[in-house]
Amino acid sequence: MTEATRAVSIPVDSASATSRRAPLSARLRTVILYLLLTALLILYSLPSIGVVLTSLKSNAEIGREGIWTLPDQASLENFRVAWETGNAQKYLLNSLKVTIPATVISILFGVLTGYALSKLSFPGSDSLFTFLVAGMFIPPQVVMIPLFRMFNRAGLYDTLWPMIIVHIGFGIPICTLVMKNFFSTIPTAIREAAVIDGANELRVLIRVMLPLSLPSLAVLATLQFTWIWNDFLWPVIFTRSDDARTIMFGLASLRGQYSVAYGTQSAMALIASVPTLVIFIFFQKYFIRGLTLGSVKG
Amino acid sequence: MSKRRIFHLLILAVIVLSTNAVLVGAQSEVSIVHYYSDALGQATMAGILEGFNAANPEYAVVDNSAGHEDFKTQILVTIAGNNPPDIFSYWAGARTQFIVDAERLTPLDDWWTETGLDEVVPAGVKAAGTHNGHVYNVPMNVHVVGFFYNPKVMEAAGITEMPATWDEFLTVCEALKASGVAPIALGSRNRWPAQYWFDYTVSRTAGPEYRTKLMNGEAKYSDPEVQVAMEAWKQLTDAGYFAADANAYDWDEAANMVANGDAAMTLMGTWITGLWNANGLEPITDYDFFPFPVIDPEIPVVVHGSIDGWVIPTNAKNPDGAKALLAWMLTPEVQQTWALGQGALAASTAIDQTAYNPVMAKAAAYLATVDFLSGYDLSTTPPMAEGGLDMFAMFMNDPAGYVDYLAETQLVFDDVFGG
Repeated sequence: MTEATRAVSIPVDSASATSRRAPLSARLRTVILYLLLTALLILYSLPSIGVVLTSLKSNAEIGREGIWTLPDQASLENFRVAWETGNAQKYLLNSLKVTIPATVISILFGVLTGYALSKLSFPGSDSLFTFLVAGMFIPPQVVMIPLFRMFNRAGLYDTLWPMIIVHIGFGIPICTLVMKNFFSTIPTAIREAAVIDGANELRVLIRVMLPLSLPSLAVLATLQFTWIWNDFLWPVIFTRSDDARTIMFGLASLRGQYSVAYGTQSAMALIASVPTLVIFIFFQKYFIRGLTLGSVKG
Repeated sequence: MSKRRIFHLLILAVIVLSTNAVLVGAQSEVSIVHYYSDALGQATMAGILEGFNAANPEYAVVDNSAGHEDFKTQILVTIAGNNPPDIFSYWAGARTQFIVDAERLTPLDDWWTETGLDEVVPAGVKAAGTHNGHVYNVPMNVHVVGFFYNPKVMEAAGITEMPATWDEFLTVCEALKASGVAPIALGSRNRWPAQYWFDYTVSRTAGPEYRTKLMNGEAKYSDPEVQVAMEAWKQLTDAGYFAADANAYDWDEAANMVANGDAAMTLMGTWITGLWNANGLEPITDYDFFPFPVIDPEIPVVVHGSIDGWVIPTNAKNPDGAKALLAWMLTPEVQQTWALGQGALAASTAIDQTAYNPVMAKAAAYLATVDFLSGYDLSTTPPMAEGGLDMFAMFMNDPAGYVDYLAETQLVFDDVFGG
């Protein structure tokens, strides 16, 4: 081998060695990444796994073995008790009766006010926006007793109405904030073009703006639905009888002062989580897109 | 069927229906709200209320319940909002005192005397529901706090006699530790289970009078008496008699440790028997009871616990109905059904005492011989109780720092009671 070829061959050998090492280190990185992800997945799933395991065991078995062991004899008895004796069926229906209208109406108002404040500026619109958004900072506890008295006088105590009305009221600020900010990202020229073509404002909103707003609407729907569904305070304040109670209240009522009902509570918790899970899966595609809206400009 | 006959039948139906409507219309509603919202509590209470409806057709009870934590908020809002139920369950002690001070509860002295309850309710139990000299809270059941232990574990450690004095208690703990089990299980994750240690060490070393003063804001957490009590508690933690990581567990997990033989005993209320019975444990063979030992023989012995009672708000819409229902709750039959259903001691001594299981009978016999004082969080004001409960949990985490924790608790005390 001449000096020249040796001189050339060295870098070639070194390059081929590097190319052989590269896939190995890439594979190792992938393995580590997957191990890490699996560990994180297990970590994040642990509470849910605990709830599922608990829901399949009797209280005596939970007392004996704890919650982390596999059930000796998996049984759906807890689900039956939660559904029938625990009244989950009635509570679930009540939760839907409160959550669906409150979500839809609060988003509807949010869309209307957001659109008006974003695209139809008028004197004082900025102050009005600040005033509306300031509503988000009112702690519910402050208005608890006045609201109770108001609904009581109106004869609405122990019905679903107070919860629907209050959730709409408390939902409007956040819905307005999100929708106004979203509408502001849509070029005003689009609206103007539609107006020049003869569309009135409602038509512009429904035909032009809303189809563009699906991701943010999905985010709002998911968040509003989950917040209202999981609400616990208002049912405690505004209801007395079983007929007007929501699933979250029912879930808490299963536990007595000095008694435990881990099995039934876990079963009802799983039942209670189904609708929010369905909503999330349904809107998932839009939800992720909505969350990342505006994250990349240009 | 002829038209005439159909006409007669129709008239008859109208008469029957309207009579029924009149009868139903004559019934007056009595609304009750209670915190017995778990399956067992609800079922037992529903049976009791059905019995009342059947025996008193002039009343129709509307039964509602809420989990006890939510109940605390709910009931105060309904009182403040002027739409409370006619009668509701409530804890005797500082919580009742709070509503009495707001002048929202009806005094029941005359009703108490007319019903003759002095003959069947022990004076100590009545006293717990008496505020500013008047009866406001009528007791439904009593829970007694003491040591619940696993007899098999005790036997394995060679212990046949349960301790009656502090020295005997320390000897028993040492023997248990030597046998390889944790002598004491405590599940103080939710803080309150630790309070009974403070209750008993204070009342057994400084006396029940001092303890009452401390609860009312007339004595201080910086007093030497409190330090002596904490030292007694610390003696046990320093010796390693408590199962590790008390703040990681709840009371029922501590109960399970005892039931499973991982620990020998736990300081808890009689409600623990409800949990154990439901899990298939047998009294005497699987679990038993002994009272908190005497530390200073010169000091009168009291028992701590909790009393669940009933109160009638001043703005009840149907106070007569509420009183009728209250009288029903105190009948021996209802008292017995309730006590046995709840794993509690009946407030009335008129029940058949042999109906208790042998362990509950021991607790009942003990209650009959000593004065009763409510547990910490029912004895002092809720904001003070928050500060105290924090202190107990911190103590279980790091007993050595208790002097600092007491100083912090004294700051809460100064805020609450004005120094």
